[in-house]
Amino acid sequence: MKRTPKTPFLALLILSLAWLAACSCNDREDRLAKIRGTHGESVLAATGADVIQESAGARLFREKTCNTCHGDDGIHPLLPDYPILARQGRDYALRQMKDIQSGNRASGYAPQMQAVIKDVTEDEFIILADFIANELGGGAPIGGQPDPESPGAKLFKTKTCTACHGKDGKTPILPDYPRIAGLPREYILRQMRDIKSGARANSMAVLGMQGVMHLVDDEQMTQLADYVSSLPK
Amino acid sequence: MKKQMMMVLVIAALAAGMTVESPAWNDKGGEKDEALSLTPDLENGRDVYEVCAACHLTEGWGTQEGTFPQLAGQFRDVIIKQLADIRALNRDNPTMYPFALPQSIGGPQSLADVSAYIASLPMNPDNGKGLWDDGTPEFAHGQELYKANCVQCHGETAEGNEEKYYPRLQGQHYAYMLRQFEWIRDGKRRNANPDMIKQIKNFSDTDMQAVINYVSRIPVPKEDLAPSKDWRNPDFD
Ligand code: HEC
Ligand code: HEC
Ligand code: HEC
Ligand code: HEC
Repeated sequence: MKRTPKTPFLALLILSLAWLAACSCNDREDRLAKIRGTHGESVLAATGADVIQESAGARLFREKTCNTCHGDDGIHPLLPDYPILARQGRDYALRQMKDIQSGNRASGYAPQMQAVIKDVTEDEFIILADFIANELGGGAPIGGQPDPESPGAKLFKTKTCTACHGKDGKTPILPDYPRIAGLPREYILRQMRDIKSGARANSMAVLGMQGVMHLVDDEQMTQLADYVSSLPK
Repeated sequence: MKKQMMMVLVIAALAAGMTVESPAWNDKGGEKDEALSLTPDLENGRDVYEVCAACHLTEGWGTQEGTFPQLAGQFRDVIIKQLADIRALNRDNPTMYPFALPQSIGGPQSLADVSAYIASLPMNPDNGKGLWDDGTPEFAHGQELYKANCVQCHGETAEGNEEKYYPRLQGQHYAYMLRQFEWIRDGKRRNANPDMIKQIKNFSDTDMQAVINYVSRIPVPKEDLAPSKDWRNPDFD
């Protein structure tokens, strides 16, 4: 057994932990969790002031202040009608970020986000999209317990939603279509209304959904939002 | 000399532009013909059709209000041509676009299977109809227009012509046909047949409603219909 090469590394680890324990940063618990945690790619490096190297996506998500609106875990956004990002599809997330940056998607509160992400580059968007799809939120639960007898459950089947979004709301027909299961109720409702009215018309894909939205009225959209928000993601 | 050269260039450019604007109505060969030459597997056709049923219904009957056309009873080659056109963005249908892509339907064999399955379904005995019953002047006007302008392609009883890719119109929903007819007349349905466009270019909106009203009321042969409008496709129990 060759143990010797590991010793300096171990020493470094202990030192870093000690440094962290002494530091009064309030996200210490998070950082510790990360060091202990499951992230295979998280490595320790006691360079400069920081001791952790997050994944590039996690760092960007924080540096570009995405977390201020979307929540550190991407599951608890600042406002109840903001989207949950965790486990959103990569290609869909990428397309939306670019559409919001270009002003192509300018409905709802998208302009608020546009103002903040002006300088994010295409490469960074790709890293962020991978991060959103694969890492953000870990395995924490999203959504709840859908009631299969609810009016929304019936509408979800009969008003064509399943064709594009999948029976479970998380297996879309194309990779750049959204996973809608477990999104916040108010956000879902707002998007349905904006897509129906044409306020959100950022792609040919969204026009496809617009083509069926005359099949549901406002009350039915509310029932759909109740149901879709309860689907586990 | 220079001027003449310019003229030649301009004309050539215009000609090139024109050919781009009018793609061939029905190119031969490729995937379409391949699909038609394959032996269909109805069981797989049913499986492929499942996702289509969310919009066209498990019976393939579409909706009376005309958002979704009836597919049941349509010719296989017409179905395959329309799918190919939608896929090639030659017929705008953003709602259905993802379902016409190879990654969701599959290759030529799946096209063969799903089109055969659709063609095998009994038709809707209660299609959406126009306002004017037999005996009204509008009905008579539509009948006249139909005989004079449509029979040569769509046939005496709107049965269509499979060999020539002329769709069957019998039993189709009024609102759907009206929309298509208008789009064909106004050049919005780009895959339309150029001879049909010529034939109908002088139709007024009133003519259009009258002729489509008539078509929507041409009876479908009994043997092609489901036993009742409450019939449900047992393949999707
Ligand atoms: C100022 C608040 C704010 C900031 C900062 C912000 N966003 Fe957003 N973001 C929003 C809002 C609000 C929406 C939904 C827009 C709407 O109302 O239609 C959104 C939408 C999105 C969407 C599309 C979600 C969906 O389901 O369609 C993605 C992806 C996204 N944001 C990623 C990011 C990333 C990555 C960053 C950082 C680079 C970021 N956002 C920064 C507020 C923000
Ligand atoms: C023809 C395909 C299609 C159908 C049918 C469809 N959708 Fe969508 N839906 C989409 C696409 C594509 C988007 C994303 C639009 C974009 O590309 O920006 C979307 C977006 C959404 C969103 C917003 C997602 C987000 O993260 O911002 C919700 C909520 C939604 N759909 C719910 C529904 C419901 C409920 C139904 C049934 C009434 C339905 N959709 C039917 C294709 C469809
Ligand atoms: C999300 C809804 C939706 C789904 C799912 C869908 N379609 Fe359609 N389809 C439509 C709409 C809407 C039209 C009519 C478009 C128009 O008005 O031009 C249409 C038209 C068609 C047509 C043309 C009919 C004609 O008479 O010219 C064919 C063929 C067709 N669909 C086949 C299919 C097949 C096969 C599938 C499954 C692989 C499918 N559709 C899935 C919405 C859908
Ligand atoms: C020269 C032959 C021709 C004539 C004449 C013609 N049609 Fe057509 N029609 C076609 C063809 C071919 C198509 C299918 C075009 C395509 O491939 O997309 C079609 C499509 C249609 C459709 C759409 C069907 C669908 O399922 O989407 C309607 C409705 C229609 N025709 C009605 C009429 C009526 C009514 C007349 C007479 C006023 C008429 N047509 C005259 C050849 C013709």
